[in-house]
Amino acid sequence: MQTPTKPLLTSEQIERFHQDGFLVVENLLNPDLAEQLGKRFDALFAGSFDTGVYPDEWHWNPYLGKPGASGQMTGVWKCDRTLARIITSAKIGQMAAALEGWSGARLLGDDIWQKPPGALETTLHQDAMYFTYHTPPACVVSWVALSQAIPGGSTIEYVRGSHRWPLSTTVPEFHGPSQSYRWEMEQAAAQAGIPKPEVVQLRLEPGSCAFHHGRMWHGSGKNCLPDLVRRSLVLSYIAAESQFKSFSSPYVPGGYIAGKYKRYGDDTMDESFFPIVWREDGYRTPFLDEYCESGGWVEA
Amino acid sequence: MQTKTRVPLTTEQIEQFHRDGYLVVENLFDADLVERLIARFDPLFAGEFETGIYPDEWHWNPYLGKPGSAGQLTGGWKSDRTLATAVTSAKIGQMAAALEGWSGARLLSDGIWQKPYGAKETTLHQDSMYINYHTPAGVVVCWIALSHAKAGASTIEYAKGSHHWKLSEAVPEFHNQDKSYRSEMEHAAQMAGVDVPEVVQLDISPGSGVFHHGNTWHGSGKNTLNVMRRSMVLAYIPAEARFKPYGTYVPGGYIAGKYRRHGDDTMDESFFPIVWQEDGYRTPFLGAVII
Repeated sequence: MQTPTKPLLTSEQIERFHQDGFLVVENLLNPDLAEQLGKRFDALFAGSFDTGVYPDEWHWNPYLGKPGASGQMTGVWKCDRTLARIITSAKIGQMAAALEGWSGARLLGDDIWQKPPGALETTLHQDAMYFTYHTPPACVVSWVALSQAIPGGSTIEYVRGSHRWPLSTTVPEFHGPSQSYRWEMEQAAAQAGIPKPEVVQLRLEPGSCAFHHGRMWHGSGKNCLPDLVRRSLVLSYIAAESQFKSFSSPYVPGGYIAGKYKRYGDDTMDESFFPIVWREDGYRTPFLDEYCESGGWVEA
Repeated sequence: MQTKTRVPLTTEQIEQFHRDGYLVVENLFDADLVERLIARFDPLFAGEFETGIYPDEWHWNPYLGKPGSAGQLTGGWKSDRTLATAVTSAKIGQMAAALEGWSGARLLSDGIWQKPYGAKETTLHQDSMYINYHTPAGVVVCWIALSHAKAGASTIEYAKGSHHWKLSEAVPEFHNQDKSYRSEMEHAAQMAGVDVPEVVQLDISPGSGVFHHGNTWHGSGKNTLNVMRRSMVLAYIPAEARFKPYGTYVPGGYIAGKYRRHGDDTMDESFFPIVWQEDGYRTPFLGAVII
C-alpha cells in the first residue's frame, strides 16, 4: 500500500489554515533534496526535458529571455520524472485533502519558478481567479521553497485572512506590473472593508512549504538580494472527484491550461492529465508510480 | 456538405512536391483574412487570449522577451477563434492530403512566428525529427506568409530535394546557435552524398504559402530588413493516425505527447481534429467554418 493512512496534519494546523488562509509546514522535503531539485531548473529552462515531452507553459529561456527576468514553467511533471516524483507525491496530496476535508486530492497543475537577483515583483493575486472551470470549485496550493525564501529575496507573501474576501476579477500582469504589485490586493481589501491588510512575508528554508487556500491573496516582491536565486515549486490540487463544469461553448471559457485537456462533449478531468495522487480508500492513478520510478532517484 | 470533393491540386503540382520536397501555392488566404490574422499577433504574444485558453508554446512576450527576438506561439487555434478559422481550414487540409495521397488530413499542430528586424536565424531542420510518435508515419507542413516573405527578411528557405536524404537526429537549438544555421543541413547533405546542396529562398506574397514534406530541410536566415516577418505554420498527419504504442509517456512526445491518454493510442479529435476527409467527415465541433 503506497498511501499513508494516518493524518499528516493536526486539527490545530487545519484550524490555523482556515483562520489565516495559509499554513507553513516545515521540512516537507529534506533540504538537500530540495536544493538538488532546484539544480534541475537550469536544464529545464534551457529546454532539456528528460522525457522529451514539453511543458504546458515555459516563460523565459537563456537564449531569448532578458537576463535577470523571472522564469516560470508549468506542467513540469510531464517533462521530468525526478520532479514528477515530488509533484505527484501522495503525502503532499494527502495534506492538501486534509486541509479541505476532501476524500482525495487530484493534481490540477504544477509550476516551477525562479527569480534571480533583480527579478521583478509578482503581482498579488488569488489562484481561484484562474481556476474557475471545475466543480466542486475549491483548490489548495502548496508552495515549496527549493532555495532559501526570505524577505528581500522575493519570498512568498500572504495577506492574512484574505481568503474570506470576495473573489476578484483576474489580475492582468503577473510578470511586469506597472503599478505597485500590491495595488490590486489593496483595492480588494478596501472593497472587503479592510483598511490595512496584514501582509506576511514568509521565511522558509529549502524543503519547507506553505499551503494556501485558493482565494488567498499572495505574490512576491522584487528579489533585492545579490546572490540568491529564489526557486520554488508550486502544486495545485482540487478535490479528487472534480469534473469540468458543463459549458455551452465548444471550449472552456477562461480554461487557461487545464481547459486545453477537456475532451469535447465530456466533462471528465481525465486522470492522464489530472492524476489522483491520493485518496482515502487507497486509490492512486495507476500509471504514476511506474512513470516516476522509470526515471526517479529521490524519495518524496 | 462542407467539403470540396474535387482534387485541389494538379498532377503536375503533386509531382513537383515529390521532386523538390516543397510546393508553392498562391492565395491560400485572401487579403482580408491576412489582415485579421496579423491583427491578432500583438495581443496573442502579449498574453491576451480570446477564449481564455493558453497556447501550447509561447516563446517571447513583450514583458520578458529580448526586444528584437523571434516570437513563436503554438496551439494558438485553441486560444483565438480568428486563428482557428484559418488553422482548421478544410481547403488547406485537403491539399495536404492530396500531396501524400491520404484519405483525410488531421491537424497535428499550428504555429505562428514573428521575426522582427535583427531576429536571428532559425536553424535548418527536418520537421520529422520532432514528429515521429504517430503511425502511419508521414507529415505535411504548410507555411503561409502573412507578410511579404523575401530574401534578406528571414523568408523560409529549403534545401531542394533534401526530403530524399536520410532523416537526421534532432537539431538541438532552433533559436540561437553558435554554428552557421545551415551547418547541420550541410552535414546531412554530405552524408547523403550531396556536395553542394541547393538552398532556395522563397519570395512569397502575403496569403500565399508553401507545402513541404516532413523530411525537407528548411529554416530561415536572419532578418536584415526593417520589416516584421510574420507567418503561420500548419502541420498535418494522415486522418487515421494514432500514437505508436508506448508505456507511461510518449518519448520525445514534444507537444503532441502531452495529449495522449494513458493506455489509449487514439489521437483524440478534441486535440487533433480531422479537418478534411474524402468521405465528407470533418470533426463535428469545428463547425462549418471554411476559408
